[in-house]
Amino acid sequence: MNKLIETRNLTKLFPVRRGIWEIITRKPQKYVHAVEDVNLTISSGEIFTLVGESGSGKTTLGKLLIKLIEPTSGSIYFEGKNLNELQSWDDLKQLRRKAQMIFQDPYGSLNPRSKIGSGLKYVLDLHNLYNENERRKKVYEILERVGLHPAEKFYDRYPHELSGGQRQRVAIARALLLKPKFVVADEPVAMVDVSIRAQILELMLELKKEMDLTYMIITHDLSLAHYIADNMAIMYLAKIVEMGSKDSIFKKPLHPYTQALMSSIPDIKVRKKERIIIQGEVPNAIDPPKGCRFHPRCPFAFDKCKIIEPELKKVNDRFVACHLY
Amino acid sequence: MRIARFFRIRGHEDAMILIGFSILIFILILTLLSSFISPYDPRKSYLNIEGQSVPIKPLLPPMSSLTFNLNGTAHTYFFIFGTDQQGRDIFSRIISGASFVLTVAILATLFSLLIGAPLGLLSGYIGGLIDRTISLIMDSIYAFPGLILAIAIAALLGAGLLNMIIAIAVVYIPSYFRIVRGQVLSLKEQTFIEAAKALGSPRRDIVFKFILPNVLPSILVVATLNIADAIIIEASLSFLGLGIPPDTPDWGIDISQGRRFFLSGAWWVGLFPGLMIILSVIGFSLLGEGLDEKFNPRLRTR
Amino acid sequence: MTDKLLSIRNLSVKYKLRDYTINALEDISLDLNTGSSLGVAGETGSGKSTLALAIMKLLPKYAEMKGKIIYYDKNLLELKEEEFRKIRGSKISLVFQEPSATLNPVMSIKEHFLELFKTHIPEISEEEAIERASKLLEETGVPGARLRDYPHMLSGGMKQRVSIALALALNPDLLVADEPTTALDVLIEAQILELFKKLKRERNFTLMLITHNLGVLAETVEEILILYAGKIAEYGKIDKVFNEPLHPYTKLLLESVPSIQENKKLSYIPGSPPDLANPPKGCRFHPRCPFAFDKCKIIEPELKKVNDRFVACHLYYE
Repeated sequence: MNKLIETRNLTKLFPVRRGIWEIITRKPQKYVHAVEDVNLTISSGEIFTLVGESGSGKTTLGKLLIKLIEPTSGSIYFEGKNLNELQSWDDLKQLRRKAQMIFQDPYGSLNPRSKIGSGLKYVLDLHNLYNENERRKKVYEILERVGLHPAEKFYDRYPHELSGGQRQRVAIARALLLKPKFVVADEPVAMVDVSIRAQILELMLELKKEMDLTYMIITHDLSLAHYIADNMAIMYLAKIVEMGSKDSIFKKPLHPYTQALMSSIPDIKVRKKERIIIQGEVPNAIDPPKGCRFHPRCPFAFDKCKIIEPELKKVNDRFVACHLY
Repeated sequence: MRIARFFRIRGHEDAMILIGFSILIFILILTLLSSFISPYDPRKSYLNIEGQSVPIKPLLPPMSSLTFNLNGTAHTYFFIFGTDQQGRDIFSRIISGASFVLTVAILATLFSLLIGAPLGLLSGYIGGLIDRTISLIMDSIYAFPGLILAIAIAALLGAGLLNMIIAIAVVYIPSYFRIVRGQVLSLKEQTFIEAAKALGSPRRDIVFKFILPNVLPSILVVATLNIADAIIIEASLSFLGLGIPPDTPDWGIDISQGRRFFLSGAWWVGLFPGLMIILSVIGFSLLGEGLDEKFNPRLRTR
Repeated sequence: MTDKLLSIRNLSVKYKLRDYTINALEDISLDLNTGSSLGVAGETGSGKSTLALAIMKLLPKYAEMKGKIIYYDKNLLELKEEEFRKIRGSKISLVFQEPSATLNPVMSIKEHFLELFKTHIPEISEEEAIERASKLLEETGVPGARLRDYPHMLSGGMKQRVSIALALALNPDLLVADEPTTALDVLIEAQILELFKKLKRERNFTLMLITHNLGVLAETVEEILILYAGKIAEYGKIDKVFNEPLHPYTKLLLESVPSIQENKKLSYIPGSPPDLANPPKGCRFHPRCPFAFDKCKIIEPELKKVNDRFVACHLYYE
């Protein structure tokens, strides 16, 4: 398979806003480490799943990949082109047509004062696709395709008249209207009712087949990753700790953090479970721990882990960042 | 019930809007037609009219009439709200006063809206040092009690219609700034703005197509409520004699002059302009509050 | 032991709003035995949080309640507010999804405990209250030194531990937990669930755990109650219900949740949950049910005993 996206040492630090006093006393600028030194490859046609807890930087990484935010350092290659070199508005607009995003919150991701139809048609206006009559038709088509039937009725509705599941369908329609190649879906079902989740996932999978999409699905839910992923990466405090094919990772997770996650997910098929309970909570991303970032919580940590940060290295069929290997 | 159905009234906010709106339409009609409705010249005194047979006293009570001969024909004057200390028809003054007060209040509100709202949009969207600076200035204006600030500015600028409008406008600029900035700040973080960026919307579209339409309803609500406030400030300024010539038909001036006769029994001089102020403030407030509930509905319980 | 601690009989809750009425709960009956654990599962709008609030008598004024909630011999719905105040927080207590619902940002953790103890045990001395508070904190895994902290100084997991400690402070008979781990990360969720299990073993209170997450229930509770659109769809021992679900909703719901234990294509429930202001006639699930037949569209199925559990579905009785 050919590479669609490749990142090199991708890093994003968010400056922490300083108060007037801190500026006067020249306190050093602090940063939230959102994404650090990420190297990953996404091939055309795959579903790459990024798993992490809140604050791991997974959403930031997703936004970086479609250039919704700019990296602090490092680079992203999209179809071989370095996105840092995209400067003009036209170039950026071309990229927007190829790379889209579906957001987590179906309630906040639609403009409350714009009707469903006009919101979608605006996307076509913006990119000057089709002529005026065709645009409306195209919007009807995509509405029907995502299961909002009859499209004429949904065209004139406002977002607040729709259920959470229906809104997420609109968000999917909006992202796919430009016929992108790559779609980042940030927790696409986390805020949708349980009984609706499988519907939405099914729709996304069907559309992937029909439109030859490549997905990056961001989730905190390992069982979702297990269901949907081809390849996956696990992030902890801005860094990828383990990356490889879904099958190999689920068969034998190597990184202690992955192991802990896997033993922690509540599962309907397991009644009494033995789990690895990881003590403590995710440390502050402003001052991440020295050495391995997971070492204060890791049951297997030894001296080296406290001093030297492990690199993401190839171990057999995957990449792991852990001194144990 | 039939009236309610006719006007599609479904809740108290609809009723508030309807009543407020009706009051305002009523006052508006008075204003627009003042030169036709107004029976007499609001500035003309009826103390010294040629051909009068008896000496006329000022401060005629409501429902008084006067008849006198002019060149052999009888003329009857009827003063529904009475006359003031200078023998002017109070009814005519009130009607002409309406147009004056409303012009000042609406123009002042418009000025402060047109300055405050764009500043809030800019400040909130751009953020950073610009935002900190503008916010500091606005907060310091806001910290002054409105009326005192208006008095200070009016005194500084001197008399004149435009100066009065400016004095009132300055007081309300921060209201628009604050509400718009606050909303922009929270809207800016909303996912649909981010989604618009991801779809390739330029900045201009983000501000004018996505943010502004979501702020407009609040601006409208604040503006309506502000007009009510501005009427009171206008009246207060005129009451204090700041701003406009004392013979101008104006509710504030009339109250100010009428208050001296309250104790001597001529209550009508100050009462009627006072009622008009109350009526118009109620009109704008009802409309504003009603619109607020309509645009920002909370959970409606019975 | 089969002492009945709490019985709910034909509980219905309606939210009377100005323009319409929401039938949040209808005809709910259930029994909680001392020391048992019941999971209440349902989606948004199924009425699960309403049930928790009804037991705690914390429903808003515009809610209209019918039926009985019997705790020992008292009908809680008939108790006056001042009488119920003695029970709420001491005999029956609640853990919310957001710890911020319990914790007041301007009070230190210590003050929270002091206030709670002083309200319910007026004669308690400050020293004793503090001692009990630090014991409770240690028991829930919070270092005793945290007593002096204010809520904002604690992480989300710590805050939830503190609210659990507060809920258990007066040895309640019944702990109602409404989505207590939903706002937490997976690893912290696991910690809190372990904590619930440990505390339950040690203190033997009755647990009512409300959540949309079936996986959480699978490992925590003995019995399960599935709510759909304000009504009980299925109610029984969790092993039986999860192994062999009878109600089509339960069945489809279980098949639509991914599990890392198997590689099966998910099936899904078509349509979306009904509008509770205007629920469908007959069985509320019939518009989405693949097994629905004519009767389902007209007659509302009653909750009936079918073998080892209760089910409300026409498929299971003549």
